Amino acid sequence: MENLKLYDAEYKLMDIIWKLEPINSTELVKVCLEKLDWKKSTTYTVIRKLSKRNILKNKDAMVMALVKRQDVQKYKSEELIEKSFRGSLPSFIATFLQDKKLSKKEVEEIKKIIEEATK
Amino acid sequence: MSQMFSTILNMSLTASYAALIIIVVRLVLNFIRVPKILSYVLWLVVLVRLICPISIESAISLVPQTNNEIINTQSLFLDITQDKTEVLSDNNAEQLEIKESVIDSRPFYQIALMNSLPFIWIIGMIGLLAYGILSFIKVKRKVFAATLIKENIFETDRIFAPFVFGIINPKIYLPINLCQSKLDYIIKHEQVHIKRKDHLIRLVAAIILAIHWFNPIIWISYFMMINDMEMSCDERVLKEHKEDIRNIYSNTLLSFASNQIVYLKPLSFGENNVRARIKNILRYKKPTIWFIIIVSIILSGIAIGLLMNPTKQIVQDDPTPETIETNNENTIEETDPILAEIKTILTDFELPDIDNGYNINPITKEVESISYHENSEPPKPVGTQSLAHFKTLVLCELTEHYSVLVSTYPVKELPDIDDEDRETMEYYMNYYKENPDHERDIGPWYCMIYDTKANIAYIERVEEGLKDYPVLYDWVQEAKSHYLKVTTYDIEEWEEAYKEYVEAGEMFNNLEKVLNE
Repeated sequence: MENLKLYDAEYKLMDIIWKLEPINSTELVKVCLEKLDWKKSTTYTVIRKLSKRNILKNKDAMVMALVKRQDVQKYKSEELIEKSFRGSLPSFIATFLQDKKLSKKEVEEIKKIIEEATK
Repeated sequence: MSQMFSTILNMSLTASYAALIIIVVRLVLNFIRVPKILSYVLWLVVLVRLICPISIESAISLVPQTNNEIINTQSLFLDITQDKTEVLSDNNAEQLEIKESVIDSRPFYQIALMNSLPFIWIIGMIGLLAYGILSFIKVKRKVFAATLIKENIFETDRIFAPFVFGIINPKIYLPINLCQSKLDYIIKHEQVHIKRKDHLIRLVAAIILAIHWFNPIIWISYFMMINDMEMSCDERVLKEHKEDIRNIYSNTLLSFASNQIVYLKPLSFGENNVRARIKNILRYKKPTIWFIIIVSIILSGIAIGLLMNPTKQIVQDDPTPETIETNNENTIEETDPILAEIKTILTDFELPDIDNGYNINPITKEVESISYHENSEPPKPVGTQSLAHFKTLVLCELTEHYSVLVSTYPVKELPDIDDEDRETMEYYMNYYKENPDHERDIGPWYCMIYDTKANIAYIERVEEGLKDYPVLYDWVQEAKSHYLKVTTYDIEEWEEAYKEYVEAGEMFNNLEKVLNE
């Protein structure tokens, strides 16, 4: 079975739920505020997202997990973000405004310079 | 809006001078290893010049001495001349109505271009602001679920480089899984940014950039300022550590340069020219107090010099509609007995007591309005009403000239012909040659002809009543003859025509001066 992938924030929320479930949603909001410093709206938004994916359920203001901890894996976020962000910035602006990512060779060069300078 | 645009253009120009000077100064500072904080602060000068249109004039100004009002609204934009405050609705004059578009002597495409510039500017500005707002929203969405580490530091897996985000309560956002050793320096760096309110300065600079988007020098200044901002921040972090952390700090920078995506708007640890920053870090030595003091004094001098405007030595060469004083004003009455006599005629007369539509001010004896039915002819002046009417004309229409040379608005004084005028007229003559079928109804030539015909019409309206005063009548006929001569010339002989136009014009100007003494 495929492991469900969660973002770091979602995983942290689920972590709290697994520890304290079943938990009243208002109670959950309080905990999130304390542990994660999330506004009420933030907490509810994440709950909504997870509930849509059937990872938790929020019924009658009681929140419960629908999946077990061992079935879940933190998302490898690099892949997803890189694709979506890269595509959205017009490439000529990106190259004009940002330093091009350094190649391995360039990284090695600079590393050497640093070593020399700080010997 | 064109007024505001013109102000912005002027500010952009002055700021560009300041920016260029600062770029040179910065190169020197870089060469002698001055801490970047000083270069950073110097950009404040450019910032101020970009948003503050007024300034003090001083002899110590470093801003180059040009005609700062180079960009004068009137010379750039079509000045739609409203009809002069006309109270006499003259039937004949109405037939030769001045079309507003005719008064401008420049080619049509140039007019259209100039008039659309402010709109293009606004659109560009709105575009950039919109892009900024969109970027802001995008970042906000990424960090909305970031979780607290401590104080005002958050982490999230949605980002790859640390940055500061937030205007009122700026927060530091870190990517997850940062190794502990890097963490401290990164946090320090971002905290310095927050302490110095760099995030606010960035925002202000971005807005100003949006306003001055058309000026490439401002773009260059923006990126240079950002670089100075980052580098001075690095230097501050180095300063606050007793031991030499250059090695580990540079390596931290390097690790971010090789595997991350850079954001445009928020402050990012790995942003902007990593190689230059590392070089700067490696070369950093703490300078002596004296060095800093001396350099600061010099830079303050430069900054003050750039914040002041040069004292204006050049008179604006655009003629203004106001009267320009000519000399020998007070000798006209003495040297010309005829004008003196005419003045007497036009002052000592009694107004007839009839009601024919002429509304004449009994004190000034000037015509304020003429009322008559739309479909009927305007009333003829009776007796001394002609004098009143003539006097009013002299004080208004007959001394407002739409000449060959200054055709965008009426002037009182008639300038001499210079080379630029010859060029303009050449242009129009060629235009007519190439377009022989085109009506001779554009440009300064037409304005002069039109005004001449209008003046003749005005004169003919009142001349009957002036026959009782031969001195005045002959004088008026002389002026009229000059105007009649003008109408016999074609555009090729415009210089001769202009001479006659000026003869008549100056006669009336002189009479007006005499009347006002």
